[in-house]
Amino acid sequence: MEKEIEKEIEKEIEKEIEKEIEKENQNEIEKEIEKEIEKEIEKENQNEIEKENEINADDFESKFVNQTYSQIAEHFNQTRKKVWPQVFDFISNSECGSLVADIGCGNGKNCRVSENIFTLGSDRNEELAKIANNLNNLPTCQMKTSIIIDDNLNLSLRSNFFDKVISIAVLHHFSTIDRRILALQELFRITKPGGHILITVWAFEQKKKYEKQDVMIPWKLQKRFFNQKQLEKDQEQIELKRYYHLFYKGELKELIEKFENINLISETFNSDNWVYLCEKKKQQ
Amino acid sequence: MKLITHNMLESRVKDCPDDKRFPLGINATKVIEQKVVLNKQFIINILTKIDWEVLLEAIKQIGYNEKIELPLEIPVEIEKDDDLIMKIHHALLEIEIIEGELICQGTGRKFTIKEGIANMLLNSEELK
Repeated sequence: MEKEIEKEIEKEIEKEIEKEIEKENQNEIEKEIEKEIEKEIEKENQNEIEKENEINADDFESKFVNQTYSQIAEHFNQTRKKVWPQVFDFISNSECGSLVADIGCGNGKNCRVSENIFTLGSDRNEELAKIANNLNNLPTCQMKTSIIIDDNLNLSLRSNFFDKVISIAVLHHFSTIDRRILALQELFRITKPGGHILITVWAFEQKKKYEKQDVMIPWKLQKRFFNQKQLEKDQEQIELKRYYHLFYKGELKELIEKFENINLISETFNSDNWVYLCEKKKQQ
Repeated sequence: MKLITHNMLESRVKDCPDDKRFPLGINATKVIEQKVVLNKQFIINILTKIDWEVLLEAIKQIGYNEKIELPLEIPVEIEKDDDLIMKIHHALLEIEIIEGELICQGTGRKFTIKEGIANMLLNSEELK
């Protein structure tokens, strides 16, 4: 009798265990499905970026780089005042009478570094160009600067002309490899033989982990920087997106090395950016 | 836009013949003068890099050729002539074109100068 009861109990326990296992499996399956869905969404986002790029990289960048900068220009300006030591050293260690081109100059913070040089600042974005130019309107100025609106992919500047060319946080806004190469080609074209080029781009290998290279980085625009149209909205801040391509170590190096007239002097990692120092070879 | 900048710009319009890209013509409707601290060595060194003839022509085109008289050629011993260095400094760095346009000599395409900033952007049909 007792044995039968024991058997019954054992059976019950087994059943319970089976149920538990089944439940666990069920959970696991659900988790798997969730993961799959997440992956699909991720893929979809990626496709969206790629699709937009295919349609027209120019329109895509116009929307997610240029138009965003137009809206955040003043706010952006307030947060970008300090010149990076590496950029400062590169520019200020120039011979007196050097000509420097700052392609993608943004608010112009790198355009007034040394009184011994002339700096030509160029940006595709009109709002940023205006901000960069206003900084110049001091009554007596020791710095020598002009600002133009121009396209990094087709610079209206003379070939083999500038002693130094800088491209600070610009190339990561181009959405295809062909456009990155074309941008480099223009930077190298305007540099004189024997002249130097300094390039910085956002690195993939930064403290904040990103899952993919092509990302939309949100900018939280505060109310005090709203334009007339935005003020109609009853919000304290609005979120705008900027497109970035995060570069792997060696990725831009590979592109630079395609140019036979360019020596890559160094590739270094600095504050979440890859920094490239190049020299245009002297003509034989 | 300073006159030294005019010495760096060229037309990138697709249809422009290569020998007509540089220099651009200037039509200035508003020009101001803005003080810049003189850096004598800068002026002496920059003279080896800029196109002197293009500078003279630019001064003429904005109607300043009587106000700033410069020699047809850069004198050999320029570093001894402080007066001339001051004039060159003034022409290159202190004259600002605020409103006007730059004109491609090969195609006639005009680039607007507004608030002292030249807009050199081309539309897709004009690109190389």
